[in-house]
Amino acid sequence: MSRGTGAPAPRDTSGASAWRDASPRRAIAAPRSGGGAPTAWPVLVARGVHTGISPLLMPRPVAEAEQIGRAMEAVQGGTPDGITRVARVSWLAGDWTLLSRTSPALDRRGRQVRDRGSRPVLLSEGLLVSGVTDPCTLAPDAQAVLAAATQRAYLAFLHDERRYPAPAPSEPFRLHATRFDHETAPAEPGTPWFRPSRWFRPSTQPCPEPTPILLLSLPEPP
Amino acid sequence: MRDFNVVTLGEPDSGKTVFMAAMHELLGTRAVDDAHHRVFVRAPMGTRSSLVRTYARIVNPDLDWDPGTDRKVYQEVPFTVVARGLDQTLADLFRVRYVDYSGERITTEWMDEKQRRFERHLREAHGVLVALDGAKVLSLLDRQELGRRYLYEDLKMVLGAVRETTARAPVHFMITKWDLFERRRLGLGFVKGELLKASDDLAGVVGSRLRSASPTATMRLIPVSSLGRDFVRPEPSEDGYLRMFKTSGRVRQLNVDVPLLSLLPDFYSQYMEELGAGGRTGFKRVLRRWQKRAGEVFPPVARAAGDVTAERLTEGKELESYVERILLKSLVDGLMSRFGRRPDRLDVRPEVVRGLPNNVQLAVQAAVQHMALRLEAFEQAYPESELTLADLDDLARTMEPE
Repeated sequence: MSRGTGAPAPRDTSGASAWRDASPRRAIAAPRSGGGAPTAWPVLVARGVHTGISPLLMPRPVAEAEQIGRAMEAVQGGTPDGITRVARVSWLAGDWTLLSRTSPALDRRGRQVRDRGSRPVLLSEGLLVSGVTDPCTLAPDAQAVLAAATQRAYLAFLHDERRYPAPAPSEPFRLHATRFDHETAPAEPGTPWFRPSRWFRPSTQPCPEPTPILLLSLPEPP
Repeated sequence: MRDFNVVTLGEPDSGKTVFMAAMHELLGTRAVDDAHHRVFVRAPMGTRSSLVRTYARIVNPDLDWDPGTDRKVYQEVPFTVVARGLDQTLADLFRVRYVDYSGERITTEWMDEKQRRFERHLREAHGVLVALDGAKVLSLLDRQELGRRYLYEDLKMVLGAVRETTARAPVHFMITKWDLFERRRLGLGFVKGELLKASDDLAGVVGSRLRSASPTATMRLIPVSSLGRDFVRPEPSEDGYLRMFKTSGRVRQLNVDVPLLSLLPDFYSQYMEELGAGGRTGFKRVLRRWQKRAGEVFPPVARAAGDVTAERLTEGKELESYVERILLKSLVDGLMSRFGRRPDRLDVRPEVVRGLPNNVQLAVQAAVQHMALRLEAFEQAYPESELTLADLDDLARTMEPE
């Protein structure tokens, strides 16, 4: 995610395309676990300057299941190292996976946001994906959509914390899933989002069973 | 060994985590090294490492402040309070369970499993410490917008959580970041008066707790600084807040041990009340005599002691361990020597501790004396620290229309 300027990140699909082009032969194909394309909802939980931890963006299925507290807990707790955590969701009925990560909160001018106690504020952002239960990772194009949504929401919140309608429902978007085996999974392709999560295994280590990994990207335009 | 649940209530950024780390640094690290310190706390290895790491980050001037505690954190921190005798004999006195949590738990409307645990801990708390954020209190005294918000939002929420605790649980208020007041040369008496005048909620909670079912309730307003004025430099920011910057100055804690020590007599006064009224009048008379003398130091214990029956105390059946018995006995008669006289036979009640190792008795007595002296020194330094009904009467008089 682009965090240097504080401006919404441009939709950059080149990384994903390049990545897909680089290893088409090694993809095992076969999209996702269930039927139909997976749908993703952005999640954002953060403090403001005056306001405590708030659910700033919440998927409608979470709100309808009255599991906002669980979602807040699930998405929080990482260190601001950019490493993505991927976890199956047990507190919603059906097949759900939550990808989450923590990063410093930046204001419109790209400066670190601090609360009233002078402490740096962190953003906990995530993507709740339906119909996926396999280990997965997010391609840069989908990552850019998520970053734009969370950044837009956070800046709106910072602008007027009291009037921000938390929890605001997040806009879902469609994803395309491509399955790869563990040897071809993008362990370190250079973006923080792709750093190994706990479901990734370095290909140099012995691995008794291949671990398929889903790459979640935006669908190809028709 | 008895467990006492303690909850520190404060809104986000009121200084709860820093306070706990600083208290552990003083009572769990430096006091352990100081052989003359008669009481210290011990935490399990994992908890201790975590607290030491947190403290190390806080006092490292090269590191930024830690981000606020997030919702995922809900850490029960069990401190065992240990007595140390002159011959270095150690005796575990009791265990205090603190909870470190994100301040949003006080104001949240979103339920999760940890929220349920937190609310249970709140309802079952034996003692309540309320962290009043010094920076916001100062804004309130300065009639700033931040102070108004604090009054009508944060403080209201926190006092709402205090009302959730049982009416018998003793409550003490800490004003954190007291170094800010020291810089301005503001005294505790002035701050107490202004706070009570500004917040009907605070005056209401203080009044209701002091008039509550427990006749032994003592309430203190404790100025606390976890880091001290030499280490933290406040600077007004463009948005009107005081921004805190670390300096390379020396860290100096102020009164971070007092809140815990203040709770001890409260706990045991409750305990004595639980032991029941009635019994031999002779022993009650002795306790009342003691009350007049040692009660100056531990007034709640002294008040409660009047209701303890001799039989129950001497049989010790309800007491959980022999250290427990010694501790109670020490609270009742161990302070005598401080008043320049040897305990007489009636006061001592040797049956209470007959057969128990003498060195353990001495260690416990030394610890009790140490704590009493520390509280006495605090009260001498801050004579206005006790919140009393007289404060509320004074307030009512000043608010009366002429």
